[in-house]
Amino acid sequence: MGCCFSSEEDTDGQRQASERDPLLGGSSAPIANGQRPVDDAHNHSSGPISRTDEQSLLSRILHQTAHKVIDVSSTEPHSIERTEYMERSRQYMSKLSAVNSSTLHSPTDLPNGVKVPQSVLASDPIPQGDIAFAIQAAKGADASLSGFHVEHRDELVVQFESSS
Amino acid sequence: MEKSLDSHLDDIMSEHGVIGVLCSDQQGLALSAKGTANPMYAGHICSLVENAKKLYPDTEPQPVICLESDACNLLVRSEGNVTVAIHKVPS
Repeated sequence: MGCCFSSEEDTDGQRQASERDPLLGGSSAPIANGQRPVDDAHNHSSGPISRTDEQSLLSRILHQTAHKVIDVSSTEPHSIERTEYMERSRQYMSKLSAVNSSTLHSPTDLPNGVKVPQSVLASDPIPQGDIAFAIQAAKGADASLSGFHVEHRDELVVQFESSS
Repeated sequence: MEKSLDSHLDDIMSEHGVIGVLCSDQQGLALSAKGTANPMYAGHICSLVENAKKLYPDTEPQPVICLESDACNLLVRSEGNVTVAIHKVPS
């Protein structure tokens, strides 16, 4: 009986009994009658204090929420004329189509992959001739670049004449 | 000076089945590109070569990388300071 939980259970039991009064009907009338005065006294004694606390808590939450909320409607009115909307839409579409045609189209660099990998895996490996060809091509490119260097023609640093 | 490289790449392009060739240095700078090869992707090809080197660090000479696809094969080979990528239609 000395533990906190037992007292909590008691108060819970009282509260549940009072809350269930209408549902239980006549069978629990003696219990309800017995509990009511206690509940009423409890409510009368702690009611005003808890109500003011609750009110202050709610008002504080309301203030905090009001601080966090950004009222968009008060800053900028959403009033775009239909003709202006259509004009903007047309303008954006024209710009977007220009961008699509100019930048998004790029030639393929690497192969696009294999749709049916079974056929590639089942086929013969790369012929040795192709491998030898790649080796020869790389050697030839390396040899042709052996004498490759940057020719120095102009001054790297340009001196601007001072006006003074 | 780059004429020798150009003529060499022209020779590669004249081979049967070759539709593009790209030549770049070790840092991924495209030196020349012909046909279907795009010089924008020289860096990707050089990174392929670097990763292949990591797979076989002790292999000498360096391996030939081949990417197979429906359209063509991409043969990549690095020699010295040069990397050559060839788009070749399988015969």
